Amino acid sequence: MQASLWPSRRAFLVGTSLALLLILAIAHPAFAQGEAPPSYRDFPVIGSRVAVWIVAQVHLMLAAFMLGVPMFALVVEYVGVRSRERRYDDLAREFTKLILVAASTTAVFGALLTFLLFTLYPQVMSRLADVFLPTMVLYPLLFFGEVFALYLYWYSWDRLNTRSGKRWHLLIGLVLNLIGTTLMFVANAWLTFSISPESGGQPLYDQAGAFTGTLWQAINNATWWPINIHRVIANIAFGGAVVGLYAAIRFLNSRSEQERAHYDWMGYVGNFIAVIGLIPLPFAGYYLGREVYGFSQQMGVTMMGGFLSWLWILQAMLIAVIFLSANYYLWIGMGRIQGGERYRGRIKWLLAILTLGVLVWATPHNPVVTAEEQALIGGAFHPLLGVLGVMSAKNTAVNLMILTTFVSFLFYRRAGKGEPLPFGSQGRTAKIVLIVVLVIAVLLSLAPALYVLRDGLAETSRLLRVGLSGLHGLLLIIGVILTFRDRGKLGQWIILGSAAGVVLFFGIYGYFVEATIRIGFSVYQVLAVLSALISTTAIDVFLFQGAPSLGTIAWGKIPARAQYVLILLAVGFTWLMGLMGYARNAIRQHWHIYEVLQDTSADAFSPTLGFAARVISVCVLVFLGLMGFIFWLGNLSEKKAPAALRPEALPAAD
Amino acid sequence: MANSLKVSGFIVLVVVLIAGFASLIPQLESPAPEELVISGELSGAELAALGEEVFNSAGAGCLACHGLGKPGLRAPDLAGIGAAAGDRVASLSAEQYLRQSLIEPCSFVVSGYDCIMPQTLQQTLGDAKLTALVAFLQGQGGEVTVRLSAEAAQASTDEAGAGIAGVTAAEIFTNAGCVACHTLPTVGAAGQVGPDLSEVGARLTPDEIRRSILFPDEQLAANCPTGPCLAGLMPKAFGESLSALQLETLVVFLAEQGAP
Repeated sequence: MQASLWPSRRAFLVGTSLALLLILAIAHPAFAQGEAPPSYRDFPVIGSRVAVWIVAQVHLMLAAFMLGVPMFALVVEYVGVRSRERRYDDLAREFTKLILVAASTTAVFGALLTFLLFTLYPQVMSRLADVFLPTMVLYPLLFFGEVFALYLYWYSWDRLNTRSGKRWHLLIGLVLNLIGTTLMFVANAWLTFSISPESGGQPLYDQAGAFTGTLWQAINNATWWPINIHRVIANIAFGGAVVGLYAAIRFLNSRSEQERAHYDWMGYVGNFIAVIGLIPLPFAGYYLGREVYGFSQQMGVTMMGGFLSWLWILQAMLIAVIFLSANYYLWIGMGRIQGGERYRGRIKWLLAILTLGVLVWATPHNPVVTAEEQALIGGAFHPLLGVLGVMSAKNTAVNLMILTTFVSFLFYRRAGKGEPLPFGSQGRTAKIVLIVVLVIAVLLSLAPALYVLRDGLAETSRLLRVGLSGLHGLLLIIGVILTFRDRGKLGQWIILGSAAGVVLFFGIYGYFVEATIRIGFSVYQVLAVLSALISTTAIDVFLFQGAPSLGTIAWGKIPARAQYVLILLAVGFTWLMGLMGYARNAIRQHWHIYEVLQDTSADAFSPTLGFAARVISVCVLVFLGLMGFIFWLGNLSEKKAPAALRPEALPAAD
Repeated sequence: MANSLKVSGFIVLVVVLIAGFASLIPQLESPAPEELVISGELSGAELAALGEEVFNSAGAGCLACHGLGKPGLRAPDLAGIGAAAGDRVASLSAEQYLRQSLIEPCSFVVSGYDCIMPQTLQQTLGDAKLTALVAFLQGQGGEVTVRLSAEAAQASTDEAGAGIAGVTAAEIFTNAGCVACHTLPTVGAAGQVGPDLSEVGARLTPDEIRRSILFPDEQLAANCPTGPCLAGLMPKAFGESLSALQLETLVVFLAEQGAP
C-alpha cells in the first residue's frame, strides 16, 4: 500500500523553496545597513493584515494537522504492536499517507506566509530577524529533518514490519514527532516574543528600544513554555478531531458493512484521542493566562476584562459544543454495545451537569458595557449572574464538566462488560501498578498542601486547604484498598465523589476569602481532579481486565447523526483554534512587539469580534476544503478494501 | 456525492451559525492611540465634532458617569451645559469655566453631587483633545467660540501620545493624578477623597495594591475621609493609561508605605 511518490517530491521541492525564500528574504537589501525599508506595503483588496491573517491561520491549522496526526499515528502504531492487532497498524499507516499529502500543502502556505511577512511588514521582520536570525536559519533545516523523517517513516513501513524492525520503525516515528515538536517550539519563540519580550522578569529591550538580551532569553520568554504546552496538548486533541472528521466522512460514504465497521471504529478512536487531549486543555489555558498576567497586568486586563472580554463568551460556547459533542458521541455509541442500555437512564444527569457547567462558564462577569447597559443592570456586574461570572464559579464548572466527561467515558468502557473478576486474579503486576499510581495520585493531591504546611496552620483557610487535601488523599487510599478487596467500583465512586467534593468546596469557599487566597484554590481543584482521573483509570483498567463480555460491539451499527457529531467536533475545534489565534494576537493591541515596536499601519486598531469571526470562518472553510481535497487525494490510490478486522497479527516488538 | 454535499452543507451551516453568534454579541473595537493631526486651524464646528469623538471614547470615560440628555449614573446631565456655562461664575467665560471644570473638577461641584471626577484628563488626553472636548461641551446649547491652532495641536500631540509621564514612583503618583484624591505625606499629597495611603503597605499585599489600582471597585476600602469608600469613586482607566513598568513601580512604592 505505497502512496505515489509525487506528493512527497512536491513537499521536498516546496520545502526547498521555502528555505531559499527565507534565506533570500533575510538577505534582502532591505536588511542591509544604511537602507531603510518601507514600514509597510499594501496588499490589494483585502489589505495586508487580513492577507497575512488568513494565510498564517490556515498554515497554523495545517501545521497542527501535520504535528497532531503523527502523534496520533505513533500512539496507534504502538498500541497495534502491543495488542498485536493489525487494524491499529493499518490505521496509523492510513493517516501517515494523509500527512504525506498534507506536507506539501502546509509547506506551500508556509512559503506564502514567509513571502507575505517579509514583503508586507519588512521593518517588523527586520527587527525580529535581528534577534532570531540563527533560529530562522535553523527552522528550514528542521523542516527538512521533519520531511526526511516522514519519508523514512512511510517508506520503511513494510521493510521494518518484522519482530525486531518494528522497534526501529517506532523509533523513527518518535524522531519524526520530536523534530516536528521542536519545529513548532522554534516558531512559537518568534510568536511569543512579540507578546512578551521579557525573560525571567527581565525586560529584553532598554528605554531606547535596543535589544539587550541574549538569543536564549528571547526564545525562553515569559509566554514561550505556556504556549508550547498549550499547543502540544491542543495538537493532540486536534489530531484526534481530524481523524474523527475523516472517519465520519468515510463512514457516510461507505458502501459495505465492513467499511462502515472500520470507519465507525476509527471515529471512536479519533474521538477518544480528542477527549484525552481536551481534558487537560483548560488547565494549560489557565497556566497561559496566569503567565500573561504575570508578564503584564495591563495585558491581562485587556485580555479578560477589556475589549476582548466578550471573546470568552464565544469561547465558552465553542467549548460547550466540543464537550457536549464528545459526550453525546459516547452516549450514542453505547447503543451499539450490548449491555450499554444499563447506563441510559444516567445520561440525563450527566447532561444536566454539563449544561449547568456550560451556563456558568458562559456567564460574563465584567464585560465592557455601555453606560445605558450599566444603568440597566445597576452596576458593572449583574446583581445575580455576576456572582457566577467569577473564576471560582468557572473553575468549579470546568472541573465538574471534566469529571462528567470522564464518567461518560467510564460508562462507555464498561458498557459491554459484566461484573469484574476478583482483583486477586489480575496478578502481581496489577497490584504493583496500582500502588505506584496511588502513590503518584496521593502526592499530586497533597503537594500544594505540603507547601502550605511549611508556613504553619494559623489561618482557617490554611487549615482547610491542608485538611481537605489530606482527606482527599485518604479517600484515594481507601478507594484503592476497596479495589484490592474486590469493591473496585465503589472505590472509584468514592474517589470521583471526593474530587467533586473538593472542587465544590473550594468553589464555594472562594467567595468568602480574599482574592489572593482564592486564586490559589484552583490548584487544589485541578490536582484533586487529575489525581482522581489517574487513579480511577488505573483501577478501571485492572477491574475490567478479562471481565465477562455481555456481547460484541456492533461496529458500524451507529446512527448517521453520530458521524455528524464527529464533524461538529472537528469544526468546533478548528474554529476554536482560529479564535485563540485571534485572541493571542489581539492582546498585543497596537504593538508588533509589545511596548517595543508600535504598529503604525492603517490596521493598528484591533477589529471587532464580528469581523474576526468572518475572517476565522473563511480560514476554517479554506482549511476544511483543503482537508477534503487531501482526504480525496489520499484515497485515490486505495484499491483494496479497508484492512479492518483483517485476521493476521502484527509482529510484536522486542 | 449526495453525502459529500450534505457534509459540506452541514459544515457551512455550523460555521455560519458560529460567525452569526459572534456578530450578535456586543461589538467592540480597540482603537490604536490616535494622533491628532491638524493641518491649519479648525473651525468651531470641526473642533466640536472632534470633541464629540473624545467625549464618546473609552479613554476619556465621560459616559461612565455623565449623561447627555438624560441623568448620568453618578454625575450631572451635560445637556445644555454650553448655554449655562457662561453664567455659572461671573469672572469666567463659558470656555474658561468648562476648561477649568475639566482640569480641576472639584473647583465647581454641582449641588447634589460629590466630587468624584478624576483630575487626570489633561495628562491622559493632552491639550488638543481637551480643547476639543471644551468645544463639544460649549456646543451643547451654546455658541462654540473655542479655537485651536495647528501649532498648539501639534505641540500637544506628542505629550498626549506618551500617556502618563514619569519614571520615579513619586512622579508617576503625581502625574497620574493620585495626589488629587489620596493623602501621602512622602510625596506631599493631601487629597481628601480617597483613602489615606500612608500605611497602605501594612494593610495590603503588593498584589492587592495592584488589583486596587486596576480594579478599584473590587475591594472597597473602609477608610475614605467621609466614611466607607464608594464604588465608582476611583477611575478605572489606570490599566490603560499607565505602562506596565509604571504600574509595577507604583505598586512597589506603595507596598513600602508603612510596611512592617
